[in-house]
Amino acid sequence: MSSKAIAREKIPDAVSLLKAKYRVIAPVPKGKTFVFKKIGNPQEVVLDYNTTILPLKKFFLPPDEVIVKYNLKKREYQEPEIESEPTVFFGIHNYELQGILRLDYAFGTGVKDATYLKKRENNIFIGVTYTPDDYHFAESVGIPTDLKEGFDIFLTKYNGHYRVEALTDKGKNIVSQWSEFLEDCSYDGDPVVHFKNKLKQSVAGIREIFHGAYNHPVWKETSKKCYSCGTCNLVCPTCYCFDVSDEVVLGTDQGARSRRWDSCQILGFTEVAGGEAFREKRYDRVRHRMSRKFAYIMDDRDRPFCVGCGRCIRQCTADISITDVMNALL
Amino acid sequence: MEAKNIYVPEVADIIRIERMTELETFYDIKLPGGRDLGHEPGQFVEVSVFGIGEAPISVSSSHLKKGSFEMVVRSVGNVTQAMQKLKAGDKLGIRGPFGHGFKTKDFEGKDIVIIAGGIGLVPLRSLINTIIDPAERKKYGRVIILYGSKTKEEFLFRNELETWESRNDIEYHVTVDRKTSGWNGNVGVITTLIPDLKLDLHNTIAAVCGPPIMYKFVILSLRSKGLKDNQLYVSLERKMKCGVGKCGHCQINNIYVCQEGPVFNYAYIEDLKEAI
Ligand SMILES: Cc1cc2nc3c(=O)[nH]c(=O)nc-3n(C[C@H](O)[C@H](O)[C@H](O)COP(=O)(O)OP(=O)(O)OC[C@H]3O[C@@H](n4cnc5c(N)ncnc54)[C@H](O)[C@@H]3O)c2cc1C
Ligand code: SF4
Ligand code: SF4
Ligand code: FES
Repeated sequence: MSSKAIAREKIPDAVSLLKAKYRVIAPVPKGKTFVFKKIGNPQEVVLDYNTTILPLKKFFLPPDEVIVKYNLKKREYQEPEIESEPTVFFGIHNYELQGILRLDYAFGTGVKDATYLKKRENNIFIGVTYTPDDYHFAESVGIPTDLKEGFDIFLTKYNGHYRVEALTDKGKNIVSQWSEFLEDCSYDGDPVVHFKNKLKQSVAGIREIFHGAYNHPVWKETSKKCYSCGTCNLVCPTCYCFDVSDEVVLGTDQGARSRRWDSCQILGFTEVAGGEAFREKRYDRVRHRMSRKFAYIMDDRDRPFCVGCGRCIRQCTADISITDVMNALL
Repeated sequence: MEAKNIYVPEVADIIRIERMTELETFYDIKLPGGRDLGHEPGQFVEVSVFGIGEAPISVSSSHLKKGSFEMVVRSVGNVTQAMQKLKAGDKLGIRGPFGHGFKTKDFEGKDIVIIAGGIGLVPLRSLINTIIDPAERKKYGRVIILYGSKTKEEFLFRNELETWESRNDIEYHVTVDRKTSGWNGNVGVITTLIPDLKLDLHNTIAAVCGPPIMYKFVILSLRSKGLKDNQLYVSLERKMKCGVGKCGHCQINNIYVCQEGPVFNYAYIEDLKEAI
C-alpha cells in the first residue's frame, strides 16, 4: 500500500467520522496546558501539545471508582457494572500508551483485575509524533519517538501534514473510511528529535544500579526539598497504588466500596494500628517511588515502569527531578 | 474475558462469637454450605463489615477443622470496632484465603519452636493446632511453644493454654511483661525464654509472630543459639488494602506481603532493608 497522508485542516473531519461510531478521547487545550477529554466538537482536538496534566490512566483506573456495591438490608455484595464503550484514543504520544501497557502488566499478571481489564476491551489507539520539551526523557527509558508498539494507527507529522500508517486490521478499517480526507504521502522518514532531558545511561542494567544505592546521599538530599504532597504519584501514568473505603448512601440501604488513587509519598500509606509506619522517614518514601519506577517492578520484557513522560518533574512544586536523582546514582 | 471481579466478598455467617479480653473477640465463621475455606496455616482472609469496610485478618484455626474457620480480632479502628459489636447470626463478607502460610510438609520430622508475642498467637494458633492434632502430632519432633503477653489479663485462648501446659508432648513456656495479682510465673519479655532452651540445632525450625519490635530481638537471640536464617520463619504484618497484589500498601521493598507472605522464611527476606 502506498503511503498516505492527511492535511492538518482535515483532522477535524477525520475525528467527526470516528465520532459517529466511537467515543473519542483526545487532547484539548486547557489554559496553557492540555487535558485528555471526551470530544464533543472535533475542532477542539489538538495534535501539537507537549503533555496533558493527567495521563490516560484516568480512563482505566479512575481517580475514584466503585469496585463493590452492596445492599445493607439484603446483605448482598454485587459487582458494579463496568462499561467498556468502544473508544478511540486519538492523538496519543507513545510514552502515554507505554504507560497503559505497563498498567496492563500490573493488572493482568498475578491475580487478574477485571475491574481494570474490562475497560481495556474495545480500545483503539491512534498515535502521533511529538517534539520533546525540557522534561520528556522517554528515549532514555527505551521509548524513542518512533516506537509504535500498541498503536492501531500512527500519525507522523511533517510540513503541515501527518503521514497515516495503519498498523492493525482495526486501524486499516478506519483508514479506509477516511479515504476522502487522504492524499498521497511523499514523506517516508522519521522526524529527527532531540531530548534535552536525559538519563546518563540507557535503561539496560538500570535495575542493578539500585543494588548498592540504598544508603546513597541523594535520597536524603532530595527528601529535604520534598513536601510529601503526592502530586508525582497522581500525575504518573504508571503509579497505580490505591486506597479503599466504604460509603453508604445516606438514608438508603445502598453502599459502595471504592478505590482511590493513593500516594506512597504520604506517611499514612504504610501506617498500621499502633502507629507503626514502615517507611517512616521521608527519604524512605522518596527512595521507594524511584525504586518502584526503575527496579522493583519491571514488565515481562524487563522494561522499567517509568516511561519518561516528565510529568512528575513538570508538576513538582519542589522542583524535584527524577532524572537528576537517577543521574546522581548513575 | 475470563477475569472476574476480585474484590467482591462472599457472604458468610458468624456461628459463634465470644469476647476473649477487653480488646479481643473470637469468631467462628461458616462459609455458604459449610464449605471449607481451604487455607494453609498462617494465611489470612479479607473480612468485610457491611457499610463499614474491610480488614485483613489471620485465620486462627487449623485447616483440619471442618465446616467453619476461626478468627480473633483486636478492636483498634473502624472495621475492627464494628466487628466487636456483631452477634452470632450476623453476616460478614469474606475474600481469600490469601498469601502464603506455613508449609507444614517441610516441618515433618523436625522440632518446632513457636514464638508468639501478644496477638501474634492468633495466626500461629493455626500452625499449633495443625501440628498438635492427635492424628498429626507424631509426624513432628518436639513442639515448643513460647508465649509472651503484656499481663495475664491479656491471655488469649485460656482453655487451650491450659491444655498445652498439661500435655506432655508439648513444651509450653509463658511469660508476662508485667506481673499482676495472682501471677506466679515468669516475668520479662519473650526473649528471656530463649536462652534456656536446649535445641537440636540441625533439626529445628522456629516460627515467630508478634509486634513489629519483637522480631529483631527474637531473631538475634535465636541466631546466637545457633539456628540458621533458613531455619527461621516469620509472619509479618503490613498495611493491606486489597490482598491481591495491586494496591501497593503491603510492599516491603519489591515484595508484596499479601502475595509472597505474610509467612516468610527469614533467609528470603533478610536482605530486604524494610523487612524487620
Ligand atoms: C496479614 C495480616 C493479618 C492480620 N491478622 C489479624 C488478626 O488475626 N487479628 C487482628 O486483630 N488483626 C489482624 N491484623 C491487623 C488488622 O488488619 C488491622 O488491625 C485492621 O486492618 C485495622 O482496621 P480498622 O478498620 O479496624 O482500623 P482503621 O480505622 O483502618 O485504622 C486504625 C489503625 O489501624 C491501622 N490500619 C489500617 N489498616 C491496617 C492494616 N491492614 N493492618 C494493620 N493496621 C492497619 C491504621 O493505620 C490505624 O492506625 C492483620 C493484619 C495483616 C496485614
Ligand atoms: S510532587 Fe514533588 S514535593 Fe510532592 S511528593 Fe512528589 S517529589 Fe515530593
Ligand atoms: S516517574 Fe515521572 S517521568 Fe516517569 S512515568 Fe512517572 S510521571 Fe512520568
Ligand atoms: S495488600 Fe494490596 S498489594 Fe498487598
